[in-house]
Amino acid sequence: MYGWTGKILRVNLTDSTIKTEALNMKDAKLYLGGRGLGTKMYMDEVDPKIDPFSPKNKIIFLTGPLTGTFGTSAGRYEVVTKAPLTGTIGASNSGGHFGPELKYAGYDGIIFEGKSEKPAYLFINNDKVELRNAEHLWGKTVNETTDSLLAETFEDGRVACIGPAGEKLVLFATVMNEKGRAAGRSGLGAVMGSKNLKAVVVKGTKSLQVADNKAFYDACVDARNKLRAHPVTGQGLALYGTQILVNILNQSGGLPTRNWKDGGVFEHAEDTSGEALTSKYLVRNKGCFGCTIGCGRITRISEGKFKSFGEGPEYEAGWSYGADCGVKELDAICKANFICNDLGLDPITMGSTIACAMEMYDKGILAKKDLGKDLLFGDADAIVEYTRMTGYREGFGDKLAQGSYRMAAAYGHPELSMTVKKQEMPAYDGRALQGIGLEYATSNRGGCHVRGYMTSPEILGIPQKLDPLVTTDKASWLKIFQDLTATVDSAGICLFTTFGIGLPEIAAMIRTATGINYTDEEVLQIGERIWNLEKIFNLKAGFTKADDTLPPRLLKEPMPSGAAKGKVNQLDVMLPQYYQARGWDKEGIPMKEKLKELSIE
Amino acid sequence: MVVKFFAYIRDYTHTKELTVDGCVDMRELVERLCGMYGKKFEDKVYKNQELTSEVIILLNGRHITHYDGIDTKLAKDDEISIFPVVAGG
Repeated sequence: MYGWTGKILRVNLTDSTIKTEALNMKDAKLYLGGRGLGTKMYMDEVDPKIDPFSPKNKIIFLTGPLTGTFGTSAGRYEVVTKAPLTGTIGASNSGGHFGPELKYAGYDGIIFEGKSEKPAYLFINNDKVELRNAEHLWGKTVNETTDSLLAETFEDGRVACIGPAGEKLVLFATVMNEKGRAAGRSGLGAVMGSKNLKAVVVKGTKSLQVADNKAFYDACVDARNKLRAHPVTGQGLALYGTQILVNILNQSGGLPTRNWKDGGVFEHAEDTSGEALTSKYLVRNKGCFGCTIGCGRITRISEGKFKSFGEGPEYEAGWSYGADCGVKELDAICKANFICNDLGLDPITMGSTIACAMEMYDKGILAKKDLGKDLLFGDADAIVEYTRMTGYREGFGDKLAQGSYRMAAAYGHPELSMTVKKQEMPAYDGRALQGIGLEYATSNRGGCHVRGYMTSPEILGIPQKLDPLVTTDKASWLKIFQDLTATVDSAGICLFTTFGIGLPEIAAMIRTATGINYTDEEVLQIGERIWNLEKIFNLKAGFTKADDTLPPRLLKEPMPSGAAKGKVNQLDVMLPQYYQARGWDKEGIPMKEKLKELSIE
Repeated sequence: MVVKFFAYIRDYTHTKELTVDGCVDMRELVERLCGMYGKKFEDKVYKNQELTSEVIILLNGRHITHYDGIDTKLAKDDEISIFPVVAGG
């Protein structure tokens, strides 16, 4: 067994039984691990129509064959279940050190099933695996929970847990590991909460084997050297973090402002930029396991009412609380982001949902009596306070906890929710970047940028520059981005490696680690297989072509200013091209020949 | 015209913004900036009379690749933004 450990833990929370099972190697070869294999395992056992909070639902933590190896930035694990926010397949991955530690304990992953009668956590120390009482942790924040668990187990163990938001079934609750890393999107932490599963603590001391030590080492060194030499992965991301994107998206007219109603130019972008964060609040950068990039931020607000310390914010949080809420105070943005980490909330959805509420208040749909006070665009205190209230479902926070779609729909205005499949879109306006709009509409987990990051060619020119304002070739480019990303997410390495290396380097690491002689094309095809399987899940869950769309604002309201002035997203042109590029019929359903080609039964 | 600098390009220019007059095209502007800001700036931006692959230049929010690249004509009210290649997510 190379790359994989070959073992899966099955934990039944209802009857407190724990079994070790063999990894299905036939499926592992076809789907690798993480997102892909996790989805296959999940679909083999769970009906796609299930209520995500049913005790019959399951939640899977799964690493990839490269996780924990010398592979570059190989620290990822994936959480897979049906997503409470969207009702689609839910798969979110996270870095840090939790995934590698799980493999050093001897396991590729964990399947949780059933529901614990009382709050519980899973303790793993190599072959010793126990469900333990977590009543003393229930109600505690992520930082408190992590510190408590390390104090009562191993100080150098690794903890993945939920905060109060997950316990209270906030629909965009995260699974947090090592305090500052998140399996962030679609509300998977709430599924843990529904099962009374507070945390997983893992400590492992075993080793991993790869198939060809010399060839694997050479492939990894080659990848690492290329990442170090590339100006993005070797310099820019370490210096400024992802928030470096604020200014370039703003200058390009694609930084969504005030719930996307004011277009893509935020007049205070510089105040909230990566440059400002670096000069004012950055303590140091931080890398995950085995990472040469180090994009993470350790930040400190030393004084004032937003005095705080923590990890982040990343670009997405910097945008959702900044431009999207019209807030220019970077210290408040940092503080709100730290609260998201500590309570276990997805800051993309949180900030966007507050922005939606701000527009509803602005339009008179929400009144002061609903809130108890004003909620105006630009209110720095509001983003901090409403984030805290949402994590605990206090007051109007209980409404915000549903995400913007359900909140706005309850007041009769779902069109003000900037969501696709009920998940908030991230920080790139699909009117200024046509391809990213197509990505949002077709992503298998709803509004999301990291399923097919078209910003890379459309704005950043990686691997080559595409015109963001036209639709030409966007469908075929997006398919390749989505497929490669699915492979990367399933191998156990970080998506950010793809800014500096590509399919040949990634395929070489997978081949030499696993000993399976995949061609580069077969490695890319694994991603296509995963994409189609996820699509089949969503179709079985009841989604149709009508769900592959964008909010009316992006389709009907022209950009008011900036380089994309006058543009709407031309989804009607791109979507049929996309279905064709995928080998799907006109309704977006994979054709039998395609499924046969991909060995999907 | 206004020229804006971002990220570590500012380490070379020691300013975020500059007003420039009289440049007919991007080449003339870039060569003038190289003369003003010295070797480190030039090494990052302009080699062998071509723009390097390590820089992103926008003209009024559009990448100059979508115009005529280094030969793009400039007008007096234009806004030019100069970034190192960056990425994130």
